[in-house]
Amino acid sequence: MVQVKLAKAIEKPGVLFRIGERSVTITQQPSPVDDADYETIRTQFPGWIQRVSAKAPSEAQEG
Amino acid sequence: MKFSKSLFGLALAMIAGIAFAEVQPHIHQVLGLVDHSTLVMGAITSLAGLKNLADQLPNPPGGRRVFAVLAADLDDAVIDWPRIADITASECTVAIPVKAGKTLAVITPAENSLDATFENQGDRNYMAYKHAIMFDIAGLSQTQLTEAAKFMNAGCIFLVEEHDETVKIYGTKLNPITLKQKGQLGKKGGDKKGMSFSGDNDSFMFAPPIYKTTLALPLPV
Repeated sequence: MVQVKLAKAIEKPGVLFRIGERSVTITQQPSPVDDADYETIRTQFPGWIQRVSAKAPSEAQEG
Repeated sequence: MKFSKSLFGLALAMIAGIAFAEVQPHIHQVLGLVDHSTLVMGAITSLAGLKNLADQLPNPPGGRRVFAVLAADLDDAVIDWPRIADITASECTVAIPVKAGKTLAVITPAENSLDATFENQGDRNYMAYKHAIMFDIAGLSQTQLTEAAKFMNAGCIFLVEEHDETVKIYGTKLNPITLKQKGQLGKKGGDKKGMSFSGDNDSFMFAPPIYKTTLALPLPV
């Protein structure tokens, strides 16, 4: 799983990507997305989404 | 002498024919021309038999939803979509090239009103495909009328989600479908108050292709 959000250029609160009979919703807030779905969307819709680097464990504990 | 001359001419014609057949694909490649016969069928492909769906398999008619996008909302860098080169074995393998941030509108037609058709038109050697779509929307509210007005003189591409989960593409960017609409109030109880939409276009190179299941479709949340 990777943390993904919509790219800044996409001025929408969210986009629902229908992939076959599944759907993946990506919003302006980072949310976990399956690696394969991330690759599918990234390659087919370049510039729509961006991966958010996860916080380091120590950082997450502090936060 | 005459005989040997005509023999020589025949041999020359044969050599020229063979040479042209060898060189022609390269000419196409160099000039960037598309040889449609090879793209569609791989030259002449023999018939393999056309059968009904196998026994014990359901064959549900009708569709669930329609995804619509204005041709103007497709990426300017893409000249046409889908193209014959995007289709392999009746399946489109290239994702819809919508402009960044543009999503497809989701149309949920009135129950049992959605239909989509295709047909061959024209005499032999002049044949091409025609795509058509039709559906009803129940109601004549302000919101519905405002949305319906957006289809006026606007070429669209429609992706129809069928009951068996297949999605097929009607219309192309350069040859989109423009909907005609008709609203009716209804006279008495039981009459249908709402709008009927229908549209078609012709001169397509292919029947409505299937949108591959591994391709994503951007929809509004």
